[in-house]
Amino acid sequence: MNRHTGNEPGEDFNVREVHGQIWRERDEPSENHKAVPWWLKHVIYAPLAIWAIWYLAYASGGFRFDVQSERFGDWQIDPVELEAIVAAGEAGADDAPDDSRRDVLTRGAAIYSRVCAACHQANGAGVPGAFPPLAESDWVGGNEERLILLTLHGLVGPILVNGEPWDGVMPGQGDSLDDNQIANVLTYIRSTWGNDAPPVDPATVSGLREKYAGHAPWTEETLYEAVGGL
Amino acid sequence: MNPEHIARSRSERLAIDRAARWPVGVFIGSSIFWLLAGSLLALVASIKLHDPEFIADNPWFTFGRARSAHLNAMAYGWLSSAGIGIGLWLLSRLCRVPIEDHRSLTLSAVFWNFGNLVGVWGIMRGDSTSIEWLEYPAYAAPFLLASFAFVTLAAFNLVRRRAPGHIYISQWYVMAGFIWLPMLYFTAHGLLVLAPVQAPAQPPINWWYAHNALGLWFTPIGLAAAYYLIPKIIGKPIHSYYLSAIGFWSLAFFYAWNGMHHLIGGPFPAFMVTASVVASVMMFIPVITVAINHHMTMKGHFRYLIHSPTLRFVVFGAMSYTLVSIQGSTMAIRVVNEITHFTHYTVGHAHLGVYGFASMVFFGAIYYIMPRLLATEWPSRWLIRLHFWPCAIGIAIYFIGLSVGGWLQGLALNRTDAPFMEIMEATIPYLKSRSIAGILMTIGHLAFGVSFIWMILRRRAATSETGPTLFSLPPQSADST
Repeated sequence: MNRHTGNEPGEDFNVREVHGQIWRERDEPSENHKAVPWWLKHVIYAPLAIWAIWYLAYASGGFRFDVQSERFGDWQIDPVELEAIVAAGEAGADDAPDDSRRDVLTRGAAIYSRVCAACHQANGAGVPGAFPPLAESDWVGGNEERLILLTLHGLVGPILVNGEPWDGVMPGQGDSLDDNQIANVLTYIRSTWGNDAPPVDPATVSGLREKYAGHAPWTEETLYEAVGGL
Repeated sequence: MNPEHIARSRSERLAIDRAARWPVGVFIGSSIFWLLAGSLLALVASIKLHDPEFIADNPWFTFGRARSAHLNAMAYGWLSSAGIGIGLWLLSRLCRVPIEDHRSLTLSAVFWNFGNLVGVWGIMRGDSTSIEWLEYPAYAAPFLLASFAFVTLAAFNLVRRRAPGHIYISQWYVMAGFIWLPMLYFTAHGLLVLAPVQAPAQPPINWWYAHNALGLWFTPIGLAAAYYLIPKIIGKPIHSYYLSAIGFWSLAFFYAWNGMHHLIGGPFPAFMVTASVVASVMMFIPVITVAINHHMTMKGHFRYLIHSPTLRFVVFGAMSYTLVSIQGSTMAIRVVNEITHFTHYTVGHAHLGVYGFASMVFFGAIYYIMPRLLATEWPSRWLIRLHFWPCAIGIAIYFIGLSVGGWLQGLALNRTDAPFMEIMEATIPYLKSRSIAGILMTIGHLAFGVSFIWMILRRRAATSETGPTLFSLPPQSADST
């Protein structure tokens, strides 16, 4: 090195004077080749990948363009399953043991065939001019509190179902069915025949039963005042 | 290393820095102008949120305009100008060839600034498109697009002529950013402003663009700068090439899907939003990978943070990157998003990203690059301190204030019995803390601006004897500016 100019041999300019930073600057960066730590692969990458696949399958609403709720389909019953559930329900399995989806639906189906099907029919289609449909019904899939109240205390007078006028009497079931039974049967009708609504929680039923204890049969108007519209 | 090699690489760098002087210098210099303009607009918008009478009778400074003008001035004026300058310099250095077409690039810097000027003026006179992150009116976009096309072409030209050998990780990031941004901007501007698609399809395009502008433009340039400057200053290679590669490709793969998590709860197909939630959570992979790579490289060299302004800004930024990305992944999870969506919490998160990470890294990179372009030194270590501390403390106050305030706001908004006015009034103390943070950051930016202008005016000629401008003198001589 030339002590005077700070030049290495072969340099034709005075580095120190022209460009102090160049002189002190380190070489361009490079990379070592240390291996990827094992825990990064097994504790971070792999569990994340497994979770990703599970969540994609679980919360994608069946990959349908017309489904906006990620929980869609959780409680949905397809026709094949419906047959099995209804058969189990009709066989009197309304004491199915636990809170799994299948058991809740089976109990619901049993109660439905015993209490509701006489009027609303086994397929939820109702009877024209007499009993309104539950299949694809805005009353069933909509406001959960309204559905619970009319099941508890009954409903009288003119109503609109999916825009069609109906005028009849639905007897209250609050005295013959307990909170769990009402929750199960409503969960069942909200999960089938084209309905897609979240399950009904027994606690919600008992809350409403307490709040409106001894209430007279509802009309569309009084229901609206109590818990709002659809 | 033999003396001949050292001599060659020195004269090579000298030629590179000389060629970069005008284009990179103009991009970086104008970015600082926009930083200051954006800071003032930010203060106007911030103060109005707790003190609505502030400049209430001038339509040019109503909240809707000041806030949008701030966002765009910062995103395109400050961060993008600085990002282009830093990216071009890094690429030129790493490809080991000087910029060939520096005149047209300097011209494109002028165009870029003209586009920003027209855009901010357009927003403030009331021509905003009202599409978040794309508020610039249609007549500003051609300048920006034409200018960026030049930049991308110049970048390709550098890569095409590059010296043979290993492609360093920063080159990957810079090139990717230079390709991604024009692609994103052109697509989104076309589909939302020039020939708008049907209304329901607009929000997904909007958030695809807005989130990718962060993750596929500011982030790659910021990471490229960190990957270059950390080993450069501490004089140690990056810990692992494999971690670098995994970090880059997983960012490229997962980030593009992230935008849809802004639409959680909205009327969009569930699988679209879910795919985005998944990709957002998968961002843990690039982020943790890069964090380990940086940390293992820095390990044993943290003492350099005492002396080197560049390294201190860059490491602050790199740490913010880890923090903000992990926070972002959690915010995309539906149960968390139900609380934070539509609150100030999101704003705190955004600023930790664009300010705590991108801006801080860019500050550090500018402290490193400018002395080399101008062959001089920063005039005063006090001004650099006055830049670092108010900004660091400012962003900390900003982030903590809005995170706490925003979270409480979100919890309250989810209760059906809480009156809206009371919720809003409860956020005021946190909004005031944001204004205080904004004033601190603006003080830092003013110090930066003074420092920069002073340096250009060459009030202090530097030689290697006076050495780099450091916070304090290191025990042994080290390259650290």
